[in-house]
Amino acid sequence: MAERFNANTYPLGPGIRLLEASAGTGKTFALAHLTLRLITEAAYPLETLLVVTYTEAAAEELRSRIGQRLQQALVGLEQMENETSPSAPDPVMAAWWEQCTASSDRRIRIRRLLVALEQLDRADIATIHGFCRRSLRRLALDNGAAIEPQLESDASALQAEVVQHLWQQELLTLPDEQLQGLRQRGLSPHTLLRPWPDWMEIPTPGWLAIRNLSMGYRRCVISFRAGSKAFGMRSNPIGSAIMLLWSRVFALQLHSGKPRVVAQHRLTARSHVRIAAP
Amino acid sequence: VQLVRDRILQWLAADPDLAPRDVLVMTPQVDRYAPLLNSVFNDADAIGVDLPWRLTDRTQQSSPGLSMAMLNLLELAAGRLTATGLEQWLANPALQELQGLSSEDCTLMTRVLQHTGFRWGLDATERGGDETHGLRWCLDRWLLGLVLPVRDGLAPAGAAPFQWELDPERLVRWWTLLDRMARMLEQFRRPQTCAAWVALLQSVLQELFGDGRAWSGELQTWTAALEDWRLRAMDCALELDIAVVLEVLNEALSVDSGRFGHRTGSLTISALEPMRAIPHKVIVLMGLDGAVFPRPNQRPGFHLLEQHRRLGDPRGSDQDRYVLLEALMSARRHLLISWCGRNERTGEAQPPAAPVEQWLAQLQQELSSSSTDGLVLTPAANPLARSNFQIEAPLSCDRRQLEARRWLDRSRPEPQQALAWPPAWTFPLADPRTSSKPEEPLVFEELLRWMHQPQAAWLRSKGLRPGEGIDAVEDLDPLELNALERYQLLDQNLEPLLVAGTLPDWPSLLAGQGVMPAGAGAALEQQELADRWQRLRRQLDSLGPCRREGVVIEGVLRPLVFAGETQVVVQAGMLSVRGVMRGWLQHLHLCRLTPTPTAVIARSTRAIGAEIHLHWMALPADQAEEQLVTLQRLAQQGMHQCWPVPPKSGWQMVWHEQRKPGTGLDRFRTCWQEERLSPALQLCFGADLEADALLQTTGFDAACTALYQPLFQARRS
Repeated sequence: MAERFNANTYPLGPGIRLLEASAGTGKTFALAHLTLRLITEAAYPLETLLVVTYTEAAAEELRSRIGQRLQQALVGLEQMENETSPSAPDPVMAAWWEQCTASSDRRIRIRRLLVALEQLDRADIATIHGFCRRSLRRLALDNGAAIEPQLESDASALQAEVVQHLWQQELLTLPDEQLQGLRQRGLSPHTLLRPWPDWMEIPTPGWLAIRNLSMGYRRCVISFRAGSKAFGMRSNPIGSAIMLLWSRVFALQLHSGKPRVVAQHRLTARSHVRIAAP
Repeated sequence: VQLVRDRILQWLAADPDLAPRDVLVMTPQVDRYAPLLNSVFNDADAIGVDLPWRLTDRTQQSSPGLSMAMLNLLELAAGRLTATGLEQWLANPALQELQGLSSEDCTLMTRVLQHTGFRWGLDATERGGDETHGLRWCLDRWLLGLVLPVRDGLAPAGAAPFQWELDPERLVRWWTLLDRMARMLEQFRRPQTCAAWVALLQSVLQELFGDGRAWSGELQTWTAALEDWRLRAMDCALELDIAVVLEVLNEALSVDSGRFGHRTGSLTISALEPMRAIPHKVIVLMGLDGAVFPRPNQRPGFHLLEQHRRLGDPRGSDQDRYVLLEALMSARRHLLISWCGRNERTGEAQPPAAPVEQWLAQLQQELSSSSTDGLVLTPAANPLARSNFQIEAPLSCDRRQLEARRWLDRSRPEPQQALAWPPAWTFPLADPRTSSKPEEPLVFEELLRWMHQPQAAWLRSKGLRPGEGIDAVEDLDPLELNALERYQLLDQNLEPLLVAGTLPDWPSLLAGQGVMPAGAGAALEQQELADRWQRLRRQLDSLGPCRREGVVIEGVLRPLVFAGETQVVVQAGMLSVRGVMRGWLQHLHLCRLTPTPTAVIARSTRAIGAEIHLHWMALPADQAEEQLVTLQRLAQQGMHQCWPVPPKSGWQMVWHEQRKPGTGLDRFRTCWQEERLSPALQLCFGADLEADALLQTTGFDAACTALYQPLFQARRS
């Protein structure tokens, strides 16, 4: 049986926790309050927390909400220190303030909140891609990767380039009848540009399936290599965590049929690592 | 930017002591705003005053000039040489002036290069072994075009001669520049030592820009930067790649470019720079969006402070916070902070940057709610919103927008939607031959044009030729022919070749022109085209032995195709109204001389691939004459009034109704969805007219009957 959620008693210990609720029921509120507790009660500096979400607008809003929450808590604690009773914006905050009875405890929390508010604009409250980009930049020196990775928001031109290269170098060089066989099976530059499952489901003779897979595999390997090189997965604990995140993203993309993968594209020529955006 | 400008104007208007030189606008997004500043602050027509302003703190690389031309060239060498990249390079004003080219020259050069087949890559080395569609290959085609004729199949060493209506002198001038550029790219792509790079770049600067003329300042910066680099790295034996050189130069040229001069004597706009005691009375911090302020500096460095940070250590992003504080302390009259409150794409609300938000929260907490009233203004998203033009404290000073708002509020009659809507077609009463004012009859071609494009012909008679065209710059070579290209290749000399029975060998005819894809692709296309060709030929043969015969129509000898005793019209594509009308008109003219049956052959979706779609029996001469007169009357009337039936949809409707009664209307609706996008029909009937509105117009059915019924009546049963 699922327990009723209480933002003030929810455990802060290590482990994976899942909050699941419908829209408008206060997930962001709960997240902001948990962040407040992680900073003040569990004594994590804000810089060590990673908060990711899907869109840039959502990330901005989340940062603003967390900031407001910290500020509210701080104001209340300061008023309590001055022995005036603060007016609580919500019952959760009121209950949280009630926990801070000892003045020494309050002063520690005020100190942590002040430091956190100062760090707010460089905290890792970002989209998944935004965080990956930041990490690529932070770890660039340790891993000898590109210093200025650029965010690729539209990979269609790159895809068209890759498809053209594949078509010219691999398919137009085949014997006529083999290319004809492939064309009759529905393989064309156009279908190659489409999401993978679409053309993987074409009823194919065995060797075509292998060819498809090998092309897909190769793209995956290229991207994986770029990722692992940039993140230095073995040397760095954060790197390995990111690799885990990446592998999830890849798996997700493979399942959702969007072949937007990280591609290491002309790395030597342009010193870029490009990341495909969702 | 407009809101900031208008707010400053309001302040200036309200306070006679305030002058533009007292205003400082700082923004963390100077590169993003720079293009907007020009259009907004220079718009004297809209604001009614000449506002003197200056932009400092923008690196010279971002304005097109000598420096940008040079950097673009290096980028082309460092990456892929694409048609768009080359177009951009050629569009540079410094390059154009110093090479004696006009901007039309450069636009035309890009166009001619596209037609020659340039897509990307310098030569076979860059393109993975295939030189077709590379720049060198195109230059070879130009040269060959000067000395050899353009003939199908003539392609020495894989490059067919290319000719364009240009004087050779001009072509040679272009060729020289492009050849020089190609040579430079080749040199740039070889790794060299620093000293060699400096020497090479100096010679390139000299060769492309000479003394630099109006851009001599930028040239001097370059020379100084190169000299500086040479002195520092003279002894380095490392061979550097072009990408590294580009990075080095980018950095050398952007250092210290314009980090001074905040007192310009006019309204000053600059990047966000740390400053003590800002001397301006009015300070505006523009564009403090959450994502860009404080500017994150995550570029890794070797600095100890960055490796082991302690509380209190300064950070790059702290400087931006200091600017905010400094602005607050220094502003003596006004302080304005602006940010983008909504996402530009989705419209979702966006909070301001963290320091601004914290500050606002602090103010609200410290002050009473009455004193924070009006602290944050949220202007309407629509610049024409009425709230922008309130009498007291208007948010907008834009007279043009005010005019637009007034115009929108004024009541006015509905504008006419289209030239020929609602249609007013009346059938001609008199026979043109017996009419009191006989009109000149339309000749064969004019009549045919009216028959398959009546609306366009009507517009043309009024001197209107609607059309849309785009000269796209393509960066990728075609991997296969598209439907139109296949049709055009097949259609070329189709009838004579079919009669002669010679199947063209397209890959060898088009060799060196870059039309056919490479390798197995060409063989595949040949097979596809040959397949279609043979299917048409088979249908032709089924009617009897073929021959071509000249027939005099309206005094002009026209070669017609006959198979056995039947006149045949062959279409390379699917059956279209154009082919049908040509067949029908030729049939009528032929029957007027000697009654002969006529067939129309075109591609078909059935397994046989082609079929005889229409077969008309021989009409008696007098009937044919009568039909021609009727057509002539309709067409002459059609020059004065717009014909109410769209040709393609109309034909599809009657054709499908004939084949399967009850399907015609649906067909019309589907077909009209596409046909209504054509410029001529949009001009005649409006941009988004529904099919049913057309179908319900008076005279629509009568017009269909008049044009199409004789055509079906004459069909062989």
